[in-house]
Formats: sequence, C-alpha cells, structure tokens
Amino acid sequence: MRRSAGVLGAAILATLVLTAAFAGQLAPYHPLAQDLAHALEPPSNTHWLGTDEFGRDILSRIIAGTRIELLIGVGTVAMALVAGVAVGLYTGYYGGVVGEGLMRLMDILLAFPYLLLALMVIAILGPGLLRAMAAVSILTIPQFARLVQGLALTLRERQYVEASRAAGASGSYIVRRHLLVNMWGPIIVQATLNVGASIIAAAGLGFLGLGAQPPTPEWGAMLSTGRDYMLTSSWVATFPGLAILVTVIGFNLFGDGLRAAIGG
Amino acid sequence: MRNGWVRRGVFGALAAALVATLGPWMPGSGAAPALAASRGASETVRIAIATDPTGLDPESVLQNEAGFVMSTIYDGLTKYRPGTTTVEPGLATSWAISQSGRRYVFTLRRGVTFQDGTPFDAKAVTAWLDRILNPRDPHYVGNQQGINDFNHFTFGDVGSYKALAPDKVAITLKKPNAEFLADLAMAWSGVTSPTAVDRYGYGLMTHPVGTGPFAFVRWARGQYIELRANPDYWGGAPRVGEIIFQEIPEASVRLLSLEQGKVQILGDVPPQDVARLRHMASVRVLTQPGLAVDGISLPVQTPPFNDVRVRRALNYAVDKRVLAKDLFFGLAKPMNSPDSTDEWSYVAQTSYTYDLATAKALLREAGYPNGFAATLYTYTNPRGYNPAGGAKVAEAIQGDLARVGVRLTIRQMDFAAFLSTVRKASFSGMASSGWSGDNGDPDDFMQPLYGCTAFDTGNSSHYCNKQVDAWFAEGLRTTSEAARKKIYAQVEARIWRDAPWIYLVYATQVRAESADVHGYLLNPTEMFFDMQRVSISSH
Repeated sequence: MRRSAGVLGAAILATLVLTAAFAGQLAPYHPLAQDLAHALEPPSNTHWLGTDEFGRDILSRIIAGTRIELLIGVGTVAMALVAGVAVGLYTGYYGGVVGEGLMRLMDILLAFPYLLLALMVIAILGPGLLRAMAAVSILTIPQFARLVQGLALTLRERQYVEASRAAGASGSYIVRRHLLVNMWGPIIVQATLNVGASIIAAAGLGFLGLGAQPPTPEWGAMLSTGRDYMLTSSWVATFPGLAILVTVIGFNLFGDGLRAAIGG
Repeated sequence: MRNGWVRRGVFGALAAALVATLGPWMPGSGAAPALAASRGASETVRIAIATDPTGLDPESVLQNEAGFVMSTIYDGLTKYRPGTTTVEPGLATSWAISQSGRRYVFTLRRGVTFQDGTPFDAKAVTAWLDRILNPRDPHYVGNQQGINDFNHFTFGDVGSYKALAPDKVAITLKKPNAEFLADLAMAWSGVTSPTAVDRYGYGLMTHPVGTGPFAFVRWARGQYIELRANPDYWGGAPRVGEIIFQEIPEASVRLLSLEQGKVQILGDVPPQDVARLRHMASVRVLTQPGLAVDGISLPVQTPPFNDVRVRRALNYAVDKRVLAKDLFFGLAKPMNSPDSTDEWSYVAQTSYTYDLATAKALLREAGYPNGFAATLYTYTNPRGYNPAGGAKVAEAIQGDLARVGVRLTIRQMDFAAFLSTVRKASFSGMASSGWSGDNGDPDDFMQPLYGCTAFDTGNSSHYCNKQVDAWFAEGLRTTSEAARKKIYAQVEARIWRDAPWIYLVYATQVRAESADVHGYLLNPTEMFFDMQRVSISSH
C-alpha cells in the first residue's frame, strides 16, 4: 500500500520534472501573451483550461509555472538544508555554549507561526519571488537542524566514532566521514517532504501578493487573482489550485514512500 | 519522525483548494445580521462595504468608506442636492458674498440641534473652525499624529472668521476661492458637535456626533457600524430606523449577501460581477459616469520620461478601448481629457488612439528604438476609480507596452504602503494613479493631480508647469463660471498635450441595491451616501 503510494508519488514527480524540462515545447501558447478580447473564456478546444482575465491561456501558464514551483520547492529546501545541516552537525557534535545558543534560536524560529515570520522577513526584505523563497527557506532551517542534531548526538556515541577519535582523527574528519555519510537517508526523506511544504508556503505568500510579482505564472498568485472571478469564471482559480494540490501530494507520497524504503 | 509542518502541508493544499472552491459560499462576519434581524428587517438598511473606515472625524480622515458613513452622520454648512454636486443650503440657509469674493456671511439654520442635544449656532461654527484652524485650540486637529486630511485644500484660504449674531457667521478668505461653497458640502467638511469635541477630544474619530439624519450608535471594528435614525433631523425624519454599514472584505461574499437578502445595498461592485447581478430579479444595478479617472503617472522629471515624445508614445501604445471593454467589462470609457466628462468645464481633446506605428515612431525619434525598462508601482486592491484593481490594470499595461519594447517590472503593495511610497518628492517611478472628485469642481479634479504643490497628494508624476499653475490660481480667483470655463479649457489642452500620465479610463460608479430599496440615489462624488430619503418596502 505504502509502496504503491510511493510509486504514484514518484510518477507525479517524474511528470512534473518532465513538464518543467519541456515547458517551452508543451505549452500551446506563450504564458504571458495577453489577448483581452478573449478574456475569461471557459475551457474549450482552443484553450483546454480556459483563459484568465487577460485572455492568457491557463494551461500554458500552469505548465510554465511548473518550473517556478519546482525551483521554489527545491531551491528553498536546498538553501535550508545546507544551513540546517551545518547548524545541526555543529550543535550535535560540538555542542557548547554556541551550540546551545544556536539551538535556542532554532526553537524560537519553530515557535513562531510560519506565516507571521514570513511576513516579518518580507516586511524587511520587500516582496518578490526570491525574497519569498528566502523567507520560506529561513523558516525551514530548524527542521533540518533539529533532525541532524538528533542524529549527530546518537552517532557520535557509536563505537566506530569513538575508535576513530581514539585513533586521533580530527573533529571535522569524523563529522565528514562518520556522521554525515550515515545521515543522508533521513535528510533526503526530510528534504523531499519539505519540498511540498515549501511550495505551499511560497504559494501562500504569492496568494497574499507578497511572493512572485505579476505577470509571473506562479500558481499561488494565479489562485489569488482567480478568486476575484470565482462566481463567474471558476476555472481561473480552480486549475492552479488543483495543480498545487497534486504537486504537494506527489511530493508527500514520494517522501513517505522513500522513508518506508530506506527507513527514516 | 513525524513532521507537523509536512502534515499541515497536505492539509494546507486541501484547504487552499477548498477556499478556492467554497470561499464564496462561506458566511461573512456574523454578528451584525443576527442583531439586526431581531429588530425587524423592514426597519434596517444594511450596506456592505469592503474596508473598515479609518475614522469618523470628518476633519481628520480622507478615505471613501469613512465618507460613506460620515455623510449620514454630519451636515456641512452647504449640501449637495441628492444625486448631484449642485450646492444648496445645508446648515446655512443662505449666504452673502462680498464684491471682492473674499468675505462670506452665512445665515445659519435655526432650531437645529446636534445628535447629543447641543444647539447648533454661530458659537458651534466658530468652535468647529477653531478646531480646524487655530493651533492654540486644545482640540486642534493638526496636533494629531498620523492623520490624513483635506483641511489645507478646503480651509487653507481662510483668513479669519467671526460670529456676528447667534445665527450669523462671517468667514473671510485670504483670496477668492471659487469652489469654497462646494468644499463646505464635502464629506470632509462636516460640522462637529462642540460638546462631543470637549468630551472625546481626538476620540471623536470613534465617537462621531453631528447634525445629520443618522446618529452613531456603535462601531465593532472590522465588523460593522450601527447608526440610528435622528427623528429630529431638520430635513425631516429618515424613513428607516437604522443603518448598518457591514464590512465584508471578500467581493464574492458581498455579492452573495445581497443575493440572500443579508444586505440591501452594496457600496461597491467589482465589474466582473455586474453581469451576474443584472440577471438577478431581486437586484437593481445602479451606475453613474462618476467623477473618476484612472491612469498611470509618468515621472516627468526623470529620463526617459522627461521627453514628451516618450510619454505620448506610451499613450499611443495602450489600447484603452479594449481595456475599458474587457478588463472593466464595459463599465468605463477611454479618457479623452484630464477633466471628467461629468464636470461643467469638460472639453474633449484629441484622443491618443491606439496606434503602435505612431508609438514606435515616437520612441525611435526620442532615441529609444528598442524601448527601455522601467518600474511600475501599484496597489493590490480595487478603488472607486479603478474597480478592476491597480495590479490588474498594471499587468494589462505591462502586456501592451511590451509590444513597443518597454519592459515593465511591476511592484505591487498594499494601498497604505503604496501611498507612502509614491506620495514623496523623491519618488521617480511610474505609478498607478487615479482620483475621485470630492466636490464637482474642476479645480479639485485637476490641481491635486497636476499642481506644483501637490507632490504629496495626487501628483505622483511631479508634473509642474508654471503656466498651468498660474491658470489654476486664476481659476480659483474667478467667480464667473463662463470665465472659469475658458481658463480650464486651456489647462486641459495643455496637460493633455504634455501627457504626464498614460491616460486610461473614466470608471463608471457601480453600486447595487435589492429591489425593495427605494429612493437611493448615487452621488457623482463617490464618497457620498444620501440616505435620508431611502426607505424599504415591507414584504
């Protein structure tokens, strides 16, 4: 059951990656091409998912948006992963006053409601896609830091680590050769699961107008503008919403499957 | 290793989809309808508004929604005849203007009391003026922090004022001001009760007391404002017992509330929903040309916009007709003068008709054959003069200008942040710009947008032409309408040629009411609600 769900997740992800890779070839129209004379047309043979308020083809925008969403998801998690793993390894292996201070900072980040913190970051940096990614990324750091710290605390008590230390290995050698190599499994599982959450978070910021700026075909922003036409042209909001839903479910199913397979 | 955030991720996605699908069917804020229902619906008119007013002290706020509410609570010395901007007697029954055009003697209406029982007389008028004009007055409005007001515009020319008799007040201006009487009728010129001012001080913002047809009862911030009929109103008792201004931020929820009879009047209607409303038997859609313009201001002192050929090129590059038809759903007309078609001073100019060849030729001539890059600042919400919303129009303009090589980056902000960005002398970007006329006078319609002293109000293009400014001054000094017409004709032709804006559209004012509402009239100044004659037929 879990396995087949994981396979389904993998299939969704493969589709997304292929769509992003060949977005230019797949999209029937240019995602930014306006045609006001054909604004808000319902799904038809010419526009499979209809057109938005500027007469842009919604299918083409969703396809072009795949790239942006994947970039957001993978980019924010990659940034958070690098910082989070560094913090986690330091605090887990070395500890000390600095480590203690870093972990309290992580606790503070975790304690804040994510949207509030994201709004604070954006209030300082200003709106924009990269800044929204930075905001989401900062919020994701503690997830990795906590995970890696826990793993490092366990691993450093293992006999082979103690043996290595007794043999005169340096701290950085042990961290690289004994700790890090043995935690990649759980880290990757965590990362996969976080990609979905990051996409949702960035879409939320886009929905509030604080993420991607127009005319970028970011799904959250598309959902937000589509809301204005909900009563008369529901397709404008529905399809970007479904795209977000399917993508996030895909990442989560894949992450769960991965965890089952390699034992997170 | 369960992860709450990830779980929430899945539910977040589901919730996002649910909101998108079900949002419009969720009920609005609930407190007020229940409260009103217990008193009988035939007695109450509920008006849906999109935003909470910023305050209810007429001389300390400048926001349309605040105007909606205040126009039912307060009267000015003059008044607009319902549905027009024609000035007629208000709290003053008549006035005499000296030969010089500077001294006004107002005869006050007798037997009027404020809603708190304070008599309205010359003493109340001078106390009201003290509060606006005298920095030594303990309640001087100018000493408040962070308020937005229109007092300089309205009262900036007042030199002195004096009570001559219990029912006579003289106001002397430093120089003649042709729109002074119209200014006194604005939503921002309501006469406040001196007793309430003594009692609440700056707290008048949330405890408004005037002489108007409705008296303030309570304000549940972010939910509703309740007003009770003033049976002693000098213009006759109102025909409904109560008004509730109910705040409903979601446009679709407002619309469904009208459809379900939870509210009777919609304070504003997004253009995309008009077609649906027109098909509903129990609803009337009210439209009026309105005193409203919408455009994009161009920073005329910054290259490449300091070249008039560039500014004209951008005007030719935007298809205003399609914009009006498709983005505003036909509820707008392309601009063909900086003045409103509804003003007596309006003169049609030669349109910048959509013409890509001319636009490209002008850009080539100016030295930009391949266009250029620029930033356009805009706001996210709809406005009275731009019901489609700033960002939507900006995006359409971005698409149009790309065709002549002008690459726009859009910076969208919430309205407050937007205003504080563009209303600065240092601002040098393109900006969504617009104006709703306050008093039906051409000076109010153009000077705040194109006057040299208006960089911190509506003139975000920083257009400053000494000749135009001299005409503005002359227009205010001149009292004969025929002579003023000639002056403003010159102003309009000049500003139009100089093209400090990409002139877009005159937006139609749209509101909606349920069929059982009677006597409700739109006013060309969109910040007005004339509620005194409104009634509701019983079922």
